[in-house]
Amino acid sequence: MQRYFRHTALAFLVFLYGPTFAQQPETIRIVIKDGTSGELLAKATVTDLSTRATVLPTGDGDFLIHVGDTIRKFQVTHIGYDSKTVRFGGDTPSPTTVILVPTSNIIEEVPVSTGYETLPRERVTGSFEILDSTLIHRSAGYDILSRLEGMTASVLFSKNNYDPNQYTPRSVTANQMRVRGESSLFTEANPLIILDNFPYDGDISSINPNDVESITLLKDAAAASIWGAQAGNGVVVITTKQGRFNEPLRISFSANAGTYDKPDLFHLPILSGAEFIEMERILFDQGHYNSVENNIRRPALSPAVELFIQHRDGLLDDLQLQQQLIAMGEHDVRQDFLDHVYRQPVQQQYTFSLGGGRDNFNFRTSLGYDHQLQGLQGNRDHRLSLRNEMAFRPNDKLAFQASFQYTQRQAKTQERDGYGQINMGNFDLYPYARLLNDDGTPASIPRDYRLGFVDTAGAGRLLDWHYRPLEDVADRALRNQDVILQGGITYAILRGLNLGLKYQYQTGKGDLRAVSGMETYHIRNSINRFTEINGDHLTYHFPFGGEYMISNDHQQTHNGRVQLDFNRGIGNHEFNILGGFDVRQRNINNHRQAVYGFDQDILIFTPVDPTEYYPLYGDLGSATLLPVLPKAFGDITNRYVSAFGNIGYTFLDRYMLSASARKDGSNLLGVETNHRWEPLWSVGAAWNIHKEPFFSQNIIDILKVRLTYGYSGNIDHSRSAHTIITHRPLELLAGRSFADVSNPPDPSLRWEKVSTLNTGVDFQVLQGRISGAIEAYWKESTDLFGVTPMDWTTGFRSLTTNSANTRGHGVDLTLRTLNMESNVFRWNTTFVYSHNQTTLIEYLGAERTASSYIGASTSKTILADYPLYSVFSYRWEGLDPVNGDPLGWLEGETSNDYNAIRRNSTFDDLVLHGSGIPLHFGSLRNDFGYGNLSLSINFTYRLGYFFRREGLRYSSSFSNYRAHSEWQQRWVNPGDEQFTNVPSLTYPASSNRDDFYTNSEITVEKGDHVRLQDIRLGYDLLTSRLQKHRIRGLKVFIYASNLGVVWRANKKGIDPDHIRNIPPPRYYNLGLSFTL
Amino acid sequence: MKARLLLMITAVLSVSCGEFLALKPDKKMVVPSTLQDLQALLNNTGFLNQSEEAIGEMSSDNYFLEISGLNLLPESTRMIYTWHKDASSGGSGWSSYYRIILYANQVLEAVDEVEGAIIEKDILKGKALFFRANAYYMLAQLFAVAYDPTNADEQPGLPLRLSPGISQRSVRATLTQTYDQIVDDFTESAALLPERIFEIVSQPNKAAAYLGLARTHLLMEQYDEALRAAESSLAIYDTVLDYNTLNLHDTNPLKLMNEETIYFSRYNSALLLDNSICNVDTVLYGLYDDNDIRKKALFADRPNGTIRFRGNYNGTDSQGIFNGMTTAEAMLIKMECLVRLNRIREGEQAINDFLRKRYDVGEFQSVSFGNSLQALSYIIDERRKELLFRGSRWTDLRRLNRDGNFRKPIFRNINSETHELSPNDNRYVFRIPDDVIMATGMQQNER
Repeated sequence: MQRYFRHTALAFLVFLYGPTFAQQPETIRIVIKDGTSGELLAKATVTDLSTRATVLPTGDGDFLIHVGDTIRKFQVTHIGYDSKTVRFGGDTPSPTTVILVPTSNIIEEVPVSTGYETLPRERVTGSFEILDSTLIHRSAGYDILSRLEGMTASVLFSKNNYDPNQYTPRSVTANQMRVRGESSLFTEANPLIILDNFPYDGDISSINPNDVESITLLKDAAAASIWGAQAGNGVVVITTKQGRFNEPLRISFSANAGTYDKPDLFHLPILSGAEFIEMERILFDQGHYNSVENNIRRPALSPAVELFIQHRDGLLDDLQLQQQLIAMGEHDVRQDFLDHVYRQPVQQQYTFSLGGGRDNFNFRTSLGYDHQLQGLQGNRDHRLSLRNEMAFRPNDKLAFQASFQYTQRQAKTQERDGYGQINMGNFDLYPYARLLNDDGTPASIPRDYRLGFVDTAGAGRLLDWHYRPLEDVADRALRNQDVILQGGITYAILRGLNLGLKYQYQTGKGDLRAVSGMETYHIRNSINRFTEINGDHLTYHFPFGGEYMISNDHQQTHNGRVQLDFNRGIGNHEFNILGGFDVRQRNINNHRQAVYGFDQDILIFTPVDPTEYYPLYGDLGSATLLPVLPKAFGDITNRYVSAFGNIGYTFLDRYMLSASARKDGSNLLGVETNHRWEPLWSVGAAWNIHKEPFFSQNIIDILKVRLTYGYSGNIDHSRSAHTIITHRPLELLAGRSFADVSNPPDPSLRWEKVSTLNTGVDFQVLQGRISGAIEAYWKESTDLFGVTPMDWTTGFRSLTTNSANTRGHGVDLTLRTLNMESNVFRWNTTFVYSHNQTTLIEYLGAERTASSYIGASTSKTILADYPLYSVFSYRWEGLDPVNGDPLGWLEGETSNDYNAIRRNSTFDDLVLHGSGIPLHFGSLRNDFGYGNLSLSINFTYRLGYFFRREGLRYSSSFSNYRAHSEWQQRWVNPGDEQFTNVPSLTYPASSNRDDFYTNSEITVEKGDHVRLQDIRLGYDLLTSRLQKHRIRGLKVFIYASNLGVVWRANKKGIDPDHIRNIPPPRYYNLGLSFTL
Repeated sequence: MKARLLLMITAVLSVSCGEFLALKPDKKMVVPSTLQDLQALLNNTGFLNQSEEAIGEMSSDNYFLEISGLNLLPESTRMIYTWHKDASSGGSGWSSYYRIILYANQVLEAVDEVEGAIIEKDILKGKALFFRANAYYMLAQLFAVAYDPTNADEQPGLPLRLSPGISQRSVRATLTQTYDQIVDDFTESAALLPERIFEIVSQPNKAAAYLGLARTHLLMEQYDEALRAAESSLAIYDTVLDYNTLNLHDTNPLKLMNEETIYFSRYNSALLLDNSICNVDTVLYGLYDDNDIRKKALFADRPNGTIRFRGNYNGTDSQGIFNGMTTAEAMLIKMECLVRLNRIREGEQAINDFLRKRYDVGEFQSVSFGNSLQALSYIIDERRKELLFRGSRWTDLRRLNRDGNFRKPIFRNINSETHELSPNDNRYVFRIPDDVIMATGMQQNER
């Protein structure tokens, strides 16, 4: 029956043999051959689709079929090949050859892997998403989890992780993934990652995607509850490629190279240089810089302000000032950054693998090498990964399995300031700054002090005090090593009853060394600040030499498992039962230390007294401590003990029942042992309707309904039922160690519990023309940990307590269609749709003033009876025609008392827009095949939500130079309110007014958009001539991603996924793979 | 047989599981169980000594800002400067003082449970009681009306939390109950703490506990008790820094933990008091005689002629200002009480002894007064001159507003605009943070 399922599930190719001959023999001979080698396929089966009878072979791959006048449909299948439906009539020639194509290049049925067992898909009751090898390797790039994006229902990625200034390659991490919405409010809401059989604790960057065979997402309780207390947020099971028994040696090699565009710095809505200077002039005229000018510490001022001062003091005439300002304002520092700091990153990836097996032994070895040139000039890193798997079965009772993985990542980087990392005192960098002088030498930027001071301070006796970003480079070396050793024994006690022992050791070491040399501004500035000049005598309180920081972390995990499996069919009853124990310990320890006065060549350093007050140069300030050197030690051990069991029972291949239970214990601090254990369970049922005798018809191939219910959980290790204090190292004032109260006694501490009710229908109709699954689920999370605002009188402003219950529901839909198919052309469409909404139904924490629920659209709304992400705004009543003040609404009338609006607005006074995260999302993928050419285009969409865009804030424009380009549209004259919603300028700025405007409904936009996620163009170069040379595969591809938004609901051209950040630039990749 | 074996295995497993799971997850985190753990909590100077709320000082009349300096500040800060009815510290005062109270309560609750010598436990209790009393004292200056013995029974005081549990609902006690609690805590603290002098002045000690008590009695107009407490404090330690020994060329002549400091605490950094914009009130500056060393040691000129304060007992300009306790304050309380109790001669003596340490050697002319009002005025001015930028001015304004001889309105001039804070104005009390009112339903202050 399982084979039958496979037949139909895989019947994507419908091959039609037209009637060509007039001759009408009663019996036709059919020969089944391999499409590439032409060899006879000995184990092929032929089924008469009208009677469902299997045709008995007359020889290897040789069948005789009796046909009458009518044309009849037969299905030809073979394991590892696409099945074919063929029609034979009386006029079919005899013999006829049917060619089967190996399944490797279409979607292959991958069994469901939970990390404890592997089951055929038709037998499971729970909810899964599976990404097979083809889909995983459809996209290219450095990391594994990003490949889930846009490929599976129910996973929503948060997207604000692009940072053009990163030192190490970007990997999407589990905490950017949300499976079926939020089940936790505060504790780690990320799904559990399982690599092969055990939770994966290392850096996700250490997994080379080329070693991954499949990814299974466990979505509902029946699927995930086997992982118990860590599974509340879903489970991602990553299965690596393994060797296979009885497979000839297979050698593959693949290589690809990718590149990103430079970051789109011009994406950010900031003022141009000229507009910015206009703003500075307004501020200067208001006396904004007076106290800075008078400040004896000489805080930095921008070049335009320095010119205004010179002009005021009569050192410049009007014309000179004007000319210099115009020249200054034409410059845009972003171009300098693009030209001199950033470059196009280049990634290269190579993989070599070797695998095969005999009767009792198999292995697979792979070697991967990645090399990247980062977007910041001078930064590069590489990753070396080695993976080895082996399996040995000396007899049919005993099997051994072992694997070894070693990953080393190394980044030698130059720490330099990228765009957005240079400040001028407390101000952001002015946009007309120059990184290069006209003569091409690195330019100096006023960073802490006015340039005039820096030029002359110390009359030549101090170190150069200028900050030149292009020259300011520190060295940094990062080295990570991860090792995983896994071994297992399986012993067959009885037929179907196996005892398994598994053990895994994982260790990861991270080692970061950073040196800021004497030539860096950071060190020169510290030395100068702590230089005391007495007549001719100079005293340096800050040691000469560099700053050297070393940071190590070491993580070790032991996992052990004893498991008993029983898999056996007895008559019409099929049992899949397992039970066992898991023990797990994870230890992380780290330390960090830094020294001053470091000499890299001879490894000497200068000790300093951290409690001594030293005078500062000139009038720069009172005597002060030297900048604190980081020093820290940490040692954390988490332990888990679990008992688990799972029963699957199938009757007549049609009726499935499942039940699982798991009890987890963990070494929570200050909790009695029996409270450390938590039972979680699930039950489920499924019915293969298409296998019912009464369901015999030709349209629907598969129809299966599923229903499950159960619990998974979550625990926060930092919480406790008792008062917990945390010891801290040296406190400088008292010179002693000290402690914080980190947790008040919380006797009601409980585990978070998530119950899920899941129903689903799997279907396939018209011989695989249309297939898919639709699921609906209801989740109820109870006792969720939340950062609960407290009555501050308790001494805590907020606490993490079991404080909330949420209720969520959603729908996942996957629909695959085969739209067109002929000998040479094939067109498949995959449509994925997810809906999810989570509502807070009960909340124990204090309710706050209504306005405090207004904020960024992406923050959680901790308010009972409201969806977890609700976007609230102040009501907008336009701009005051008299003075351009933004107008709000309070106590039934228009108001500009922003403070009162903030304090006294009720929920009735606010506008509720809707959800801040997409309620509907998914993707639409079209795969085209034409001969050897394949093209895949994936669109993703996010619908039904709102986001708050940024707006002009005068207060931060003035105090931090964070000025929004809306400045140009601001209200200036009466009448402007007809055309603009940007309030008028006031000086001094009112942050309440700014808060009102930027939190008003006018700054909320619809977030709906469609994005061209990626495109892949592949070409299969395999020809029969190459095959004669024993080449099994040769493919090339081009892949491009981050291709931008193709449709958006907002009219302002804002990318709703990247409101405040630079969007990730386009990525292109070119690759080839080669298999022997 | 098999069943027994199974039972044994289960038993062994469950015992070893219990041990396996008993390991502490994070080595730095403990359930407080030793005296060292509790002392470590009291060593948390960041919370206990260095995050006090400066809004009272910011609302006092020791300073003024120029408009260009004021305009640099955030709106919420400007509102504090002009005594706006909605001015607040954003809640930091309420939460940081109640955090101190939590730490104190935590120690008080745990100290009887842990092993250790009674004497060591008493010291910890005494310190914790001091922290709690001092925090309630500071809170009362901000969130409750000035103490008036005639109606303190009817006035709302502070919610009194005396144990660390979080489940108890916060209800405001009366002002009488509040001050009784402060007095009791200081008194008990002083009794428990040993005679010996401080280990380090960020830790409470007996002299500081008595001074806290003296401060409290002074504003409660209980001058006998205040005098007794001040004298008890001085009996333990009475060294006053001789300003003649200061190096006036130093950026900050006054140093951290100098010899007259008996308890160290400081405010959070406060923008209004920032050294780059905060100018000393010219009237106040004018009160100093030219041969008063304080006129040089505590102040510095700016290039534009304005005067800035540099006499922070924190030894620096770059952190929040010192608001701890000095022996000089004990002296000032003693002299005021003596005069108020009509012991004018003794008061004069105390003044003369003290001011000799403040004037150039030999320059100080001994004072004598015709009547107690004259003496009191002199002492009130001396308090201002000595305790400026320490936070005590706010308390003094509040308590002196009840006295017809000393009450006065204070003003802020911003260009042509004048803001006035009249005596006993509602704005002498700050609003309790809205979030606290929302969470507890307790009575809000009218402002």
